[in-house]
Amino acid sequence: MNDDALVAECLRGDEDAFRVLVDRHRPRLHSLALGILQDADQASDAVQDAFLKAYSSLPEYRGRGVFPAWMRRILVNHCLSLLRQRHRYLSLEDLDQEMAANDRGPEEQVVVDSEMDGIRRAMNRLPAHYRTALVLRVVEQLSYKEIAQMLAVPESTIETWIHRGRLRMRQLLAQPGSRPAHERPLGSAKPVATPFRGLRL
Amino acid sequence: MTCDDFQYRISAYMDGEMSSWSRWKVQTHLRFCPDCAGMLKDLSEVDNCIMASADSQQAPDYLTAAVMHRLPAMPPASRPRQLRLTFAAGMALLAMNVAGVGGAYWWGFTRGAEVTQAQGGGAVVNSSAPTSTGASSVVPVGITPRIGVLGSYWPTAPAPSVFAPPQHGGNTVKPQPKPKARFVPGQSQLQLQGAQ
Repeated sequence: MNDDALVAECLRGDEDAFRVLVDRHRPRLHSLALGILQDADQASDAVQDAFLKAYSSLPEYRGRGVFPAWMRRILVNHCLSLLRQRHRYLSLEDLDQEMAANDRGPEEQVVVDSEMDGIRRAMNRLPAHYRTALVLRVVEQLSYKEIAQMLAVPESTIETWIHRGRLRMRQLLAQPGSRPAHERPLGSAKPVATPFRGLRL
Repeated sequence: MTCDDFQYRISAYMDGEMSSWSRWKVQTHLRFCPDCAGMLKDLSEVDNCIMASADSQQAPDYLTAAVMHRLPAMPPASRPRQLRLTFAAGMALLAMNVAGVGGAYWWGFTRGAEVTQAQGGGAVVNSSAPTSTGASSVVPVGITPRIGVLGSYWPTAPAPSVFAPPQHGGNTVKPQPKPKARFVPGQSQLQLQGAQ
């Protein structure tokens, strides 16, 4: 049964149909929320809230097979409101100050246990609007036009955000603090396959 | 295309947000510029990192149960249907009102036309429209007074202002003094002094 039929069943009062919808779209939406918020607990809460908002707004759903995009828009808007509450919209100047404060010597670096922690750490240090645009482009494969409509900014701004986000991620991943402890220059010489091993310093 | 130009548009090139002509120029530049080719490779690795980060953590299993547990606290999904019914009822009431007022106007025009025909055309004497002088108003030919449920409201002369000075003479009747009551002993009722 496709999404539109399940929505129609939900509108008739069938809650099991909504359970099927949640099960079907939960993984992808959770990945999106995690990419934007960079916090697993907050991502789970955001996905729950987005589904509940969608349930109360189901009669307004006018799509023809666009339920995933509709849910994605609800979730992104909710994540953005959460980010605004957290005051995590940092300008580039703020980010530079934050990075300078976090630049420590090799002995003071927080030990990164796994490769994914390093990536998440770098993602978490991105300005939220760069991160949101990057995740919508890279993970959700949306076009610049779709992202611009979703975030209510011009397409040229989206291009700038994505480009600067990629450059900043490249810079952050190339920093020693982003690499796992066993891959540091003072560690063992054994090469470890990491997604960002090929980045030039 | 210089390296600066290319590096400014490198994300657009990666994301396919570039015209075919610009794309061809970038590809041509990449063949002869190892630095730009290396940068393109780096940014592709960044995309791989972001993808790996998004897929690294699965959605918790309790999420569906948590959503379904919170559903009963939410308003029913059919609530906006009631709003639609209310809106439809409101529109029907508005349509009935418009039809009623329109019908009243139509009935008034029809009645006015009958009055015009009954009086033989020409100038129509509208005795029902009061004027300030007390005389009948003369209605031009072709314009019928509206007599309907709303009453006759052919425009009359404006009412004199309360601040206007009193006008005497002409057809104005001088107001008579109010008769005074006088008590006469032996009679059961009052006699009005000056009454005929």
